[in-house]
Amino acid sequence: MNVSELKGKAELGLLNELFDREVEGVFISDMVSDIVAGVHAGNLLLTIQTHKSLIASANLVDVSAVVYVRGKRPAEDVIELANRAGISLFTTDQDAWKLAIRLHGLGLE
Amino acid sequence: MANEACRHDWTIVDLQNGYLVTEGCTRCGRRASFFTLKDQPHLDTYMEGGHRWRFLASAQSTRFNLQCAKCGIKVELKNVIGLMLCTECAEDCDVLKLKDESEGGSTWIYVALCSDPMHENGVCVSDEEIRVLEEYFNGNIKSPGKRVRFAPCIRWKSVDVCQGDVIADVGMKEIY
Ligand SMILES: [Zn+2]
Ligand SMILES: [Zn+2]
Ligand SMILES: [Zn+2]
Ligand SMILES: [Zn+2]
Repeated sequence: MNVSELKGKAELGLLNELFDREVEGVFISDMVSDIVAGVHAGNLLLTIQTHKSLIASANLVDVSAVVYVRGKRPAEDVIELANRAGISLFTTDQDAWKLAIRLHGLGLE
Repeated sequence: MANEACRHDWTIVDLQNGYLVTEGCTRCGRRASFFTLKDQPHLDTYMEGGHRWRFLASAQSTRFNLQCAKCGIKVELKNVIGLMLCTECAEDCDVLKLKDESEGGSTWIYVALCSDPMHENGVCVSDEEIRVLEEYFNGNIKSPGKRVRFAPCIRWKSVDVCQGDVIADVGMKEIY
């Protein structure tokens, strides 16, 4: 499944430009150290961490997109960095657990 | 030495979660950073030689080594205490030159930070550490044309001129 398909199917709100790419799996973490060591390229990252350092690490490990759960939204400079890095940012009111169940139902692991 | 014939397949080993702490000398302005596993670094000001070190900042961070899954060779990233995405540089900064050297696509520069940003002893992250970091992270990137390069912080024009985002968990206590 790619990012644009997922946006519709999981009802995610887009916060920046849409950079379409294949979503290969899901990774849930609020710690950038976890992300650097644990994410696989193409993973969709679910988090509540809206700081810039998260984008710096998401870019390093080549995530497909970031979903801020529980209605979190990053500041303008974070969005700008994500645009430069070609990483789509989404927001949802769902929590990580509920969204994970839903994503699993859509065939993502 | 490395097995020349092996096209290494690096994996992260010896992962440690700890803290990246920065201290500053109130007398000479010197700065130093270190990685610690303790969540209570020296919060008090203390003397060391002629320096009077004061705690400046701390953030959760991680340390790891890289090992080849095929030939078993391990590279200890013992001089690397953190990584920073370079976002702003002076035009004559060596770190920026790294970007110019690389052709086309999107290249992202990360600075590998050592514990002595002033480099009075000339020691920083080694060439081998830089090489395996580039091999490991580029080996995992799937986006076409995307590439990451690493610069040892000794190539900085100055710790104040080079700006970026250090990969660390800032504000963990404020998120909930
Ligand atoms: Zn090898
Ligand atoms: Zn001093
Ligand atoms: Zn610079
Ligand atoms: Zn250095």
